[in-house]
Amino acid sequence: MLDRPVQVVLKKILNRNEKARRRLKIIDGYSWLSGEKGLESDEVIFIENLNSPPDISVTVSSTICQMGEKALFVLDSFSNILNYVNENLAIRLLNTIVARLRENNCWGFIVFEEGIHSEQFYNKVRHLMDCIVEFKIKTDEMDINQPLKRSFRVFAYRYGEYEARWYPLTQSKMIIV
Amino acid sequence: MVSFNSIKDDYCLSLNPIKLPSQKKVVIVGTFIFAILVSILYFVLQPTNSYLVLSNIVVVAISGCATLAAYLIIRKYRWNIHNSFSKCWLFFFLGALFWSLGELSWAIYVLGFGIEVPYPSIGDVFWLIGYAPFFMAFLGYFRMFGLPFASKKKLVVIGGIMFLSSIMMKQFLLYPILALEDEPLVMLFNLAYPIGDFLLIAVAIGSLVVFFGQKIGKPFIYLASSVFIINAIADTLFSFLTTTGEYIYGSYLTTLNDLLFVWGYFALFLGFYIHLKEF
Repeated sequence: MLDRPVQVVLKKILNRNEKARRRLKIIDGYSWLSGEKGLESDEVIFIENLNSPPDISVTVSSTICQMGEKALFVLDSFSNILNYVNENLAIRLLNTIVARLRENNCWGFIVFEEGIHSEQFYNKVRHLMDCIVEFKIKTDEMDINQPLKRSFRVFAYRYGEYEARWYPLTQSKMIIV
Repeated sequence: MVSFNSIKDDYCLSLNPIKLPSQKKVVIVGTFIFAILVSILYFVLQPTNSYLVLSNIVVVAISGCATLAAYLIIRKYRWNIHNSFSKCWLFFFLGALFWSLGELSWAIYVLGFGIEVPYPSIGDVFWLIGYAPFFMAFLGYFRMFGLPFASKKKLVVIGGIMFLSSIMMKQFLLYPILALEDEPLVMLFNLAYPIGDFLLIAVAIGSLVVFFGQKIGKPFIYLASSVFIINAIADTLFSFLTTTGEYIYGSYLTTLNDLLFVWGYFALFLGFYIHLKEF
């Protein structure tokens, strides 16, 4: 969690499921921006800054190791790290995080923003990941009353067949990828 | 209806809670104060018979605390031998356990059997076995988190330090020890300690150079300093004192030597404790 205050994330998750708290660990890479460190607790681990890939790597490894196998790991978003370290170091960090996830048989969702990194970076990410899901938003400039059209597609999946066409993504329906 | 002010107050409260010193700060400051008190007490009681009891109990207690902190970490990481991170901490725990067993057996020899300087003894076997897991732990940590991010400049610095320390060890430790004519078993232990210390120094310095100035570096400053600075000096001084027959209770050098080991365990405990609380 790198782009929102920890209280906001906790509230959002716990609104859905009160029991989730016991199985939830948040790595807070946001609070240090305001220079404020929240109350230390078992479910929140603070990263003091995002300039240091080894710190991030140890924190992630430690958390994954505590959660055990088949845990779900969400990194939102990796693009924030690129504000503080160069792309080469970021790719090395990504490699270590992915290796740790594979070693522990964990599920991992790593979010990247489109259009702010180099094409080479995206190619390296595509090479590294087991599954790539792309999201896009289409706007109709002619009709201002038309809602935004959101869609997604599976760009690549290593372990089976998939259909690569775009699917509509609406907020009213639950979509499982 | 919820007013805007109450929402604002809740939000401000969540961002600015009343700050009390955290448990971590209390333990760290408490450990430093306790270390100072123990050091003073060592020198005050040095000429009395109580020194023998105090020094043996204190060192066993502190090494036990370090082992307990390492145990809590490995319990947190689920004792998973197939996970490289968990394995690293398992090695740290084993290292601390063997060293504390070494301290315990020394204390049993001294307080139970009345042998003033049990060297060499079964305690030395525990201490020497302890070097292997510590070496593996540091090496594992360095390979996992240091090597992927280490710059060429840092690697050159590490290589340079290791080269210099190997020359210094050969000149100032190995040659003088080999020049002494002692029993083969004593010679073996006299040589094993500096070699073990050098191997730990190599990996500990490597980790310290890479992790220095980072969050992960804080526990490593304590762990590495306990291993490569304090322990190496204490081992060398101990080898020197026992070889020259000057390891006598009541002398300042013996007290200083005992204190160095105690400070090493304090640092080891702090390294483990900080990691336990931070991650």
